Amino acid sequence: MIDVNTGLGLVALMGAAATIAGAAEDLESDIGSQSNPNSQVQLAPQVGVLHRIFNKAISGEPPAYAFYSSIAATVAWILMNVNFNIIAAFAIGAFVASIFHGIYASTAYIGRLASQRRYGQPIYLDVIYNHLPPIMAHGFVATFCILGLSYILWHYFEHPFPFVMLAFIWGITVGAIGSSTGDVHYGSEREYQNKPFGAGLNAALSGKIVTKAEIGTRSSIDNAWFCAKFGGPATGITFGLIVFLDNWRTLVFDQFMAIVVGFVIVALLIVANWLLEVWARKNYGPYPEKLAMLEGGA
Amino acid sequence: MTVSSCNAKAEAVEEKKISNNLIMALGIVVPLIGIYLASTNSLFAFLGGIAIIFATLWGANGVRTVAKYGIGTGVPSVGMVALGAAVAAVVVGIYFASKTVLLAPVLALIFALLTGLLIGLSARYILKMNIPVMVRSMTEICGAGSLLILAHVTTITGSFDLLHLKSLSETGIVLLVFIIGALSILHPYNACLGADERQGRTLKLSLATGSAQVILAGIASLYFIGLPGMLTLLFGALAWFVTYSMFVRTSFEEGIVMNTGLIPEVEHK
Amino acid sequence: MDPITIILGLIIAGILIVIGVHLIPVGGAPAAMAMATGVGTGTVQLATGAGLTGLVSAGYMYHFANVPISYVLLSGAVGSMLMLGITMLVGNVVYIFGVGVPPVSAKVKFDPITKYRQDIYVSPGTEGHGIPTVSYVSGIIGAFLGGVGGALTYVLLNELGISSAISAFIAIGFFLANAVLAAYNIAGTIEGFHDPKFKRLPRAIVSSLIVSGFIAIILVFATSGGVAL
Repeated sequence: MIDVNTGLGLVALMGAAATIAGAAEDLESDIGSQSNPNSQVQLAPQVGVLHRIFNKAISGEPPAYAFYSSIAATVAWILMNVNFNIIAAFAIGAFVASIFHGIYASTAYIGRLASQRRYGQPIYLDVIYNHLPPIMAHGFVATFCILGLSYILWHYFEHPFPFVMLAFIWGITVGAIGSSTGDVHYGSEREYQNKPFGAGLNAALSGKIVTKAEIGTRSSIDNAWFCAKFGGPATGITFGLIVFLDNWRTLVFDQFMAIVVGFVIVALLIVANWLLEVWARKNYGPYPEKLAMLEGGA
Repeated sequence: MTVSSCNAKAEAVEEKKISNNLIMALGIVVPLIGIYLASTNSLFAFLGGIAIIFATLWGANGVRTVAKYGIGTGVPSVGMVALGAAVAAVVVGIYFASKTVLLAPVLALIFALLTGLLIGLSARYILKMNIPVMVRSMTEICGAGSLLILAHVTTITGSFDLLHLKSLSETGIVLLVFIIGALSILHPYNACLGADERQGRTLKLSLATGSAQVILAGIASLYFIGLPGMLTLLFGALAWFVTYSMFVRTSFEEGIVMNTGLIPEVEHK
Repeated sequence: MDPITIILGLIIAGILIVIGVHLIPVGGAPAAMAMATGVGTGTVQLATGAGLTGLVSAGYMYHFANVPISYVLLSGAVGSMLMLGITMLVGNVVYIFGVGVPPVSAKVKFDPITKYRQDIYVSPGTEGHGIPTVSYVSGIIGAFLGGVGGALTYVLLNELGISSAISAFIAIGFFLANAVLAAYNIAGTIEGFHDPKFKRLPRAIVSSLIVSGFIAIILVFATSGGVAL
């Protein structure tokens, strides 16, 4: 085992890598329009809103990220076994993964839009050419960082799971986090930017997404610009905190105390969530329409 | 006008629907033969690639059949359950056949079909999901999942006995097999979802995702069987190029393709 | 450990996973547009993310020498709870500061834990948004059960004499199969234990009992070496 000081540095490095991975993952899913907010992009042509937004329905984000991470980890593992430089092995692995990412992204866009012919939605070839490089690049960054943190966990902390398996698991986790946190910013705000701030999407407006930009038509690359201000960093902090706190408690404390500290952190999280809820209720207040309905009914 | 011609086209295409039974027969026989041939010599390991492609075809057709009903949890969960349930079946099949190794694929298939049958029955009759094809499709998907895992194990390591499964697991590459299999089964229908989805196009995409897996299996097999892995890689690349072009060409024929341009005006806006 | 205990243990693990998935508040696709209460992702995805994070912690704990099994299980639970707790907290941060809506449930008039009024805080045309305290606590309990279930599967398979890598592999598949069964029962969205859909839980438990039971029995028979063809 390594001493605590080196270990702390490594845990911090893992947290930093996880933060970058989370942020890149979320921005990539915004450029590609993946996961749950994509249901609106999919619905849009059906309600008469044609668009030039990417439709990257590879699968949900967790399986997709597990896919890229496993490919990258396998390639890196094979290269590591022939004594390749580790960082270069990660880079080559992440590159191979991003190629497969691009292939699957292109079939998802072509396939989904070909299935929307009856609504008159065209397949724009320039959308494919313009969007694939940023999608693959963000995917590359995220995959590279996941490989890094899996390697630290596997090599320095001697985790009993194989390297590829750790990359797979962290891939699933980063996808689950990205689609739970950052994507909400894309789905609720960016897709419906013309609707007033401070309300969920009215179900009657489903599919009526914004398709115009400041000048011309909105492309999905603009979405990364918007989401990089909040959704992306929020996702990064989530993944960073999870990786850091989970490994920090097992490193610093002995086995029993690590569990106790975990429970304490969870209790603090519950309190923090409650405080947040109270703050929001106090500052935002009830919706006037609902109060009016209440008085009308009473 | 476009709408009506589209409908006519869709109907004409509907007549050419490939029957599920035919795909099931192909999906069982071809992978089994491929797995056995691939296990004879590491030079023939690339034949496992054919097994991978056809198992993917079968699984993707099963996913398409059941996911058309809208199960409320999205297409990906269907693909994940296929491989998730097949994992135990494959391990059990290989353990059971530890004396007569040749029985392993058949046993794994049988156990996977049984697991899938149980999942389908409990989803249909205990969870009361109102999907008539649930039982059959779940059985088929789990069966395809088990053949897919076995085909990968054989292609990557050159054999399907316990020793090779263990060495594949110790390196963790078995997780690569798991996820590329799941994604390739669920991706075709997920990527073609829409009002004008058509079986032929979805299945072409499943051939493409199946071949893409063969490339990855080839890369992984370089670690286990060395140079013959290049054969798998080349075979996969060739198959992928052909099937991917097939899919793109069909999609471009059926969709409205524009190089660039503004958003067209729609009449009922 | 004797085979019967292991079979029973695996069945219990499956049931724990199913109950855990039912407790995790997921809003599916609508929640991503702040149209439904819960985390804005799919049931299987979120539960698997939490469960597998727990599996990493549990696996790490299990490889220390002479560690009691209860520590391993609790370690899995803590890893799972941490993942879901932080995700739900930041999810709420995005809802409150990014979308500007208070976390609120539309299924009940008063939050059963905090007793706060809910219905007037639901924005018009939606079915709630964010993760209110009751859903948050429910999710934490769900993650606890899911984490214990995943870790229990892993430990029992190790006790069967299967190597740790294959054990983790089967545990992942086992977790997914049970999580998908639970997701089929939920069919889209659930807010937690106060949701009317939670009453459907017994059906999922029965189906998990059948499926996990079958997998457990064939696994134990095959690996205990009694039968070899």
